[in-house]
Amino acid sequence: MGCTVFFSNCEKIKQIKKGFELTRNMQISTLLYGESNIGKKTLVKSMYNNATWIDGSDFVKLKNALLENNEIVVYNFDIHRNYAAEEFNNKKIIALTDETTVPDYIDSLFGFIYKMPPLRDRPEDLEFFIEKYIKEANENLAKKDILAIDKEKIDLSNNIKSLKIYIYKKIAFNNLEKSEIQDILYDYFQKNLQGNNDYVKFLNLFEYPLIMAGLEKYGSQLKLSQILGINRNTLRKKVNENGIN
Amino acid sequence: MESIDFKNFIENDSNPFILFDFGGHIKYLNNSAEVLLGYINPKILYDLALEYAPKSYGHRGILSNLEFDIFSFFSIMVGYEDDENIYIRLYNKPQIKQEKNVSKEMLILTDVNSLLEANITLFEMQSSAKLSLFVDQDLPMFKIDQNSFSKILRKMLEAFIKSQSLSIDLKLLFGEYIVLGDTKYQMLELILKSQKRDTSNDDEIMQIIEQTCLTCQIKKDTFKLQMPIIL
Repeated sequence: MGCTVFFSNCEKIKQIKKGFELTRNMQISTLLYGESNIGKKTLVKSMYNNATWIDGSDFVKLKNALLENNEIVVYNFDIHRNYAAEEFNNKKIIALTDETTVPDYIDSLFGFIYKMPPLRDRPEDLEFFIEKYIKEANENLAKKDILAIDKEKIDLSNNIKSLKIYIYKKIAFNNLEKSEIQDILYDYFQKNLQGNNDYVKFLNLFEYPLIMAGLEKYGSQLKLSQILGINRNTLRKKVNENGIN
Repeated sequence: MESIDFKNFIENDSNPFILFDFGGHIKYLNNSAEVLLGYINPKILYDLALEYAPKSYGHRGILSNLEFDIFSFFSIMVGYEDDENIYIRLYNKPQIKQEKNVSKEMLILTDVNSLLEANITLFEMQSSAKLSLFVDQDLPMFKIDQNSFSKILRKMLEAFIKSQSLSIDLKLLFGEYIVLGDTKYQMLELILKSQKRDTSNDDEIMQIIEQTCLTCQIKKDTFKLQMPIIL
């Protein structure tokens, strides 16, 4: 079985890891909770890869596993179910849940309860994951792009998962040939053309990124109007139409 | 009727009795008072006697809950022996003694320092309280119910999350024992103390403790958790 490596520079996560290590050989039940895709499973896998792993959403299977095993990791642990305190005593149970709050009665089952912070609260980890997924995406998409990522624009709504999607898209769409952009638009129009005023409706697909990129690159509407070869008033009108501030 | 020496009854009474002279010096104290004065300053008891002394001769009984360290009293009696001497007698609060039959199968040989350290690590994630830690690293491994002990410790530490400081003291108690079943065990004491703490989980903590072989004294600012060293 492969060895899972867990990385974090976040002080809170280092402390969670230390807590797990100190109680490695103890029969204590531990709950690790926090948003989805923040590395809970990877952290526990790096220490308990050989334990029995049970999907907690299958309640019957979980109940049987609690009876039969003294060391289990329960992922998708459902905190809204009823559990008997005896089921959690004198056993090594590590329960993982994506819930962000824990009710009192669940609190009384576990010796330790850790809350893992989301990625947006771990700036010290963000750099690492950006580099990791740029490298991974370049390898998987057979590219060699060195991207300058604007951290303000990264989508962290779904933590590591949305960061990964953001970077893969960036790499995939970086340095596209004109024909590739046309192919993408072609597929999009094939799928979405259906109204009676679609020319105006879809014009902003072209105008919005053109004006945004131009304004960012040249700094003023006057300069951009010269670059684009259109009247300044026309550009101002298009800026307003496209809702650009 | 034959003369009876009642002093002997007072001497061996479990309720502390102290006789002071007019300057607050102790003229007599019984065995229980001797133990009590190992924990509190006699001046406190003298002041208490003066505060509740009867206005004229005789004695006066007052019902009042008093807590001195590990001692709890429900009433005191203050009286004059004569013009110069005053006595105070403190009546122990009755305590319900519960027989604890804890199954030893539940107990696992544990390095209590590691378990304490893991709990402190968790506490430090949630609190900025300044910690003073006094532990004995040479403590032997002994048997405890790890999950319950950890739950108790976590709950106790949670009571200090908003405190500015917390002192943690883990030590062997010399000369004090706890009897479980027919066996006498040496004790280890964990003291968590601060100026102020959250008391809202105290009942829950006591409920968990009652299911274990541990005992605990809970005060407004302190937890004193005693555990038997079961090897």
